[in-house]
Amino acid sequence: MTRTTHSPVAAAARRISEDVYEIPARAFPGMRVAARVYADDELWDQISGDRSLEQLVNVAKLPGVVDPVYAMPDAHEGYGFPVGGVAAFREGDGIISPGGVGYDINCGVRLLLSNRSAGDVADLLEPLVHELSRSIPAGAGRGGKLVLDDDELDQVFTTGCAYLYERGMATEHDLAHTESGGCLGGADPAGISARARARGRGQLGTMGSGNHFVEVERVEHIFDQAAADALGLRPDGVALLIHTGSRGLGHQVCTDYVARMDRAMSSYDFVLPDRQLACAPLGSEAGQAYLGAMAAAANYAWCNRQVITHLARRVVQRVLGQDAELRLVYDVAHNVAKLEHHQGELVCVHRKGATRAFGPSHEETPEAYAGVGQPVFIPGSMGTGSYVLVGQDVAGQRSFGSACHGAGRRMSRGQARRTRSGREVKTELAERGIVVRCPSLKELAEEAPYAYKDVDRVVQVVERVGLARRVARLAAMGVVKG
Amino acid sequence: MSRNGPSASLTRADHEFVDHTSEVILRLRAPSYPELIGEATSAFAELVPPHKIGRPSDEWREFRFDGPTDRVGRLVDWLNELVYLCDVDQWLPVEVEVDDVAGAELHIRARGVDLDEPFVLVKAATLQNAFVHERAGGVEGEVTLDV
Repeated sequence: MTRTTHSPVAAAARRISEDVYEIPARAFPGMRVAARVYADDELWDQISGDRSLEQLVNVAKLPGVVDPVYAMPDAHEGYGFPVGGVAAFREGDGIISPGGVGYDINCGVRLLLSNRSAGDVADLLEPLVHELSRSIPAGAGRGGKLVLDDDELDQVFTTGCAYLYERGMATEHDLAHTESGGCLGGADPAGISARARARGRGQLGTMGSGNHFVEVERVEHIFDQAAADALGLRPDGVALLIHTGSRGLGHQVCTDYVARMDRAMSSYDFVLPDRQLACAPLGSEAGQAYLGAMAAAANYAWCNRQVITHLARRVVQRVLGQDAELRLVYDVAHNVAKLEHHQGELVCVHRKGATRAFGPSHEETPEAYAGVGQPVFIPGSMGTGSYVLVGQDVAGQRSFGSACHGAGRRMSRGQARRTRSGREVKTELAERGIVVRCPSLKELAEEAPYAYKDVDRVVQVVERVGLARRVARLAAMGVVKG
Repeated sequence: MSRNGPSASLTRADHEFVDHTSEVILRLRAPSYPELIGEATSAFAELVPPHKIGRPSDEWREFRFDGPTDRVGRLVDWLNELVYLCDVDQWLPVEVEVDDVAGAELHIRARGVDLDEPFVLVKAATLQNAFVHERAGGVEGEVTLDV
């Protein structure tokens, strides 16, 4: 079946099963592989309503790309690559593209489980959220409590969370339950510019602005009891969900390497369909330099979420009692490129706004979750709930082991502001018992629930196509916005 | 923002911001490329909330953009310079003198104001659909800002 919606690219798509659309490799000149989109009717209409599909087709034109490229159901227009895009490139003739990772390198999510129930914290929710907002710097700017010199930054870049373990800010359990142990190999501090260092020096342990947050959650519904038991999730249990990334450091690394690769594109024998897709052969000096810098920035991001965890643990002990704990369930990136084996080949998988979702039998799934699957966290918008899923083995064949990363924006920031004021949004959330702290009412309006796609629908598609399975749904009790 | 017909000469620079799903598109028009750079500087300054703006600074700073890129690349480079200056130096250029040396090098002298705190709303200026075109009576350009 061919749909005729929105654009020539959308019109070229065939619906090959209930939730799978495909743009064949022969549809447009230059395409080397097919482009596949996971979406139901409503999400397809949203995805094909902006330039996401054109961007996905452009990715399918890059050298060494492995068949096919994917868009997750939360996809929307990005820079070069669509957000929610997944593409793998062969080690031999493939490329690496900073735009395929994004500006916020290793933006990701971690879930921490407390040993408290919702009823235990009901009367302490207001002070808990207030103290979290006071202790974890948020909003625009720097203001971190941990200012590192160059040697310390180098250790963060090369050893990731192991550096924080040595400083008493992480546990062995934390490292074992963080993707890649909280340290991506091959990091090269020499590839991080002085500018990137300057932007990142004082930002470790800070949330940033935009859609970043720390949320106090309640386990609202369990879908899969066995998997929930393995992850330690119980009904009404209280958890913390942290969403942030590599802050200004990651932005500057991306800026530096997009510019460097853009200037070098004329030396390669292929023409880019979009300058923001600036890239370099994986084996080239520029390609290897970016991989080293990206790994360093990714390690910085894991440390950022770990320092926030350390600060949050102190807060919960102060507010909820000395015996209050926050046990890390898992930490997973959704903006990164990694060398992985898929279908017997070593490939560089770019996940931009897509979460790694390895299945129960994958060797990189943490030992504690063997037989269950690697945890995947899908934050919804404020007040609409978030999901805990586990990756499925078939995701390896269907998405290079990837799933969605969130609800995905459907409204511009300006449109969201015009729809309702920040004060109205705050009042509505308060009426539903959700305590909110945000440095700016304007930004609160921009992040309102209606500005995002329907997270329930996104997650249902992911489950139906077999990428990841729902374990639990979380409901926000408190929100600290970046 | 002033409006000129497609064939009329531009007598002054102007700009507009176009809101998009997760970004802001900056559209610029000016009688010349140096004036386009000046207009981009003014547009960027508009994004900084007034409460962050501190004392005017008498200091003039100089910037050079060269190397194997084009006018689009240099416009994006300058906007990324503004992102960096507002974040790390907490300094916002508001007055610029621009010399586009034979179209091969951009030389900018800037005077600005100190910011009371970093301005990091704009994470980066991107090459996404960026362009600078000659048009009747001037130039026009567009850059997408990641916000």
